[in-house]
Amino acid sequence: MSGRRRSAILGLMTLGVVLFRPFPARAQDAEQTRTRVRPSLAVEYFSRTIAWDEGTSTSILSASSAVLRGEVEFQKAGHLGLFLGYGFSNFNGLVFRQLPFSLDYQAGSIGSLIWGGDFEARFISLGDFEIGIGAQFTMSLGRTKDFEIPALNATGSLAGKGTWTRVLAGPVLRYTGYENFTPFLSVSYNRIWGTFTMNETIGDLVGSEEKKITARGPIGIVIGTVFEPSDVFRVKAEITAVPFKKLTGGLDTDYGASVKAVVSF
Amino acid sequence: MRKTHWVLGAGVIAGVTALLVFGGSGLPRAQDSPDHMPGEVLLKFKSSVPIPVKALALAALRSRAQARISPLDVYVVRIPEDATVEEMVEAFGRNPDVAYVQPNYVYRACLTPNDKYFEDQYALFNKGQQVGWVPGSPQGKPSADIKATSAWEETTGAAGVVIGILDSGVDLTHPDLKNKIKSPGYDFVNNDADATDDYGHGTMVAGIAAAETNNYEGIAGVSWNSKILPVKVLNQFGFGDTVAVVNGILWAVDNGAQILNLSFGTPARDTALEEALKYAFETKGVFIAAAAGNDNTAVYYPAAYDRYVCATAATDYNDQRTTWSNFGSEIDVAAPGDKIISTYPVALAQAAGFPPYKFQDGTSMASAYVAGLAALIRGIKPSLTPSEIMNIIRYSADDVNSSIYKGQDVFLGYGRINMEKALVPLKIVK
Repeated sequence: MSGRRRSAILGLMTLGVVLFRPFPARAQDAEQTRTRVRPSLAVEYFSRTIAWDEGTSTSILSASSAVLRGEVEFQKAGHLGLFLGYGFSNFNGLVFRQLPFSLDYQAGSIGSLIWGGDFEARFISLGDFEIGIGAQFTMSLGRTKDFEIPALNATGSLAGKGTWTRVLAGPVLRYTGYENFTPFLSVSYNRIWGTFTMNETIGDLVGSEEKKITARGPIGIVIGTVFEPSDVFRVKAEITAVPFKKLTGGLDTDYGASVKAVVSF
Repeated sequence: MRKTHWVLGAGVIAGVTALLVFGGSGLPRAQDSPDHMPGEVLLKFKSSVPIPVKALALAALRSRAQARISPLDVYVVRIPEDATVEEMVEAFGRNPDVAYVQPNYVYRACLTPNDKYFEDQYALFNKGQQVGWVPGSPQGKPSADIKATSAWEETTGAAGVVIGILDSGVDLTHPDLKNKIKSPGYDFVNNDADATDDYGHGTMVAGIAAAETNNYEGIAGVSWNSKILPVKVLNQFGFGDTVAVVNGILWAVDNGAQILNLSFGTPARDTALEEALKYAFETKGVFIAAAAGNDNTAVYYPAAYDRYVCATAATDYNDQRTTWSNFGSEIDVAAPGDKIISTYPVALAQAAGFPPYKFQDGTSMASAYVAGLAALIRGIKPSLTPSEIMNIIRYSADDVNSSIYKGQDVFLGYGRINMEKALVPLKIVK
């Protein structure tokens, strides 16, 4: 076995011991009074129906992201976190009819910088239940992407850029009756808004159109769990459902999901 | 006593992770493309295949599920950018867990009007039908047309857009035109407020551009909803002079015309005419289409006033240049001008013993198609300048003679007009 491979295995074993070691005997008592810093890695995917052109048209915004997150936990009473990462947003279905040549965006995802912050506060305990509030602010700053002009008798350029902002806020109900496993339910205000700007230059024709987008359905239902196999490692997973009224009548639902892996120090 | 729920907790986490892999709700389906959507396939696994195996099968081919047709358990799968749909259909098809895989085919509704003679309008929709009513008439080449039916899905025109037909007048009582006439217009030949057609040419041109459509009668016009402003500047023999034409242009643009069709010409420069065109184009923002001429010589005026006018040559039912269409560097585009059926004055038709529709050749007919298309563009994009409208029509044309003259040329300009490319949102796929 080479020294390099041995080192890697040892490193992995050490990491495993650190992350999955059993709770220390008096750890829980100590935990109640500790303020801890926790770095984490979070991945998320969501898909939301967005309305544009004064709410007369809809399409889907789907976004995925991976962020590095730092959180400060205050004596088990809540936490405050900040995150920064990279993601991809897919605005397929937007149609730009104010440009000289109308365009139907079907070019898929565009990379974006993702940043934001979140907090959660727990303030009521009723037996095995805890009630608190949580909120999150996320901003996606898309990069400008160039696209190919479909077959026309003139050359030029097409460039698009999309940004969106999301705010989540609402009460959280947690069940703490299980060890290592804390399911929760939240009904949250879940709003997304943003813009997508398309610039078109084809021969002598020049145009720019900004599309204001707003996600349909202001309230989301979140079901998730925190899975904490050790004192220093936990995983939080959640699924979000956002019901909304379709433009054509009737109800539909958008979904999202996220997984967050948190390491404590 | 608290219980440790490792399995339950891990299961929930795995479930959410699977959701992340398999994505959320569907993307809207695109409206057009050659025959299938690029970058994605539809995939159905056999019912016994568990989700982790499905995820592995997708990951193995660098694909991901972006939507699911739940009742059918069919996934819409995004494929790698460097792979074609055909390659991925073949690759997934080799997986024994796959029930079936196929491209995401594109379906497009085409708006076909119910007008009696629409089948005879190869210029609007050419499916290789016979061109003309006479036995032994030639057949057209499928798709040698201006793609009207698909463009009408996007727009059939705005009632507020007025096309000024400067010609021999228009039959104001014609069943396919009477509801489209903005006003009786003006007759600059006889100097009265009745631009009734006594020659037939203007009625034909008007019908091509904007006949009443989907009325079970006669023909379909290019711009269903635009209005016609008749301005008579040619006499009963089809001749006019500078005074009538210039007065007609000025009157038309001062009386609401946003599009002008000038299906007449002369080989001589005409400074007064040029000044009237400049007023219409620059001062009033009016788009002007004109016929190149039918003598296989240099482009006639006013079409040759390059700056202000969209000069139109003629193609036939095979997308070939007609032998008589005038040519020159002023040619902007071409449109069908051979064996074109259109409205004909009722009185003249009755006298000749045929219905009020007639086949005719000429760049006059071709120009009217361009005027109709310009009216449709103006209707959905009223802020565009006439020169922007002209560029849209030029850039979207099909270079149908590219095998001989690639790019813009003196015979067909940028090519035969394509209403679909000019009007329907162009799909950006990469």
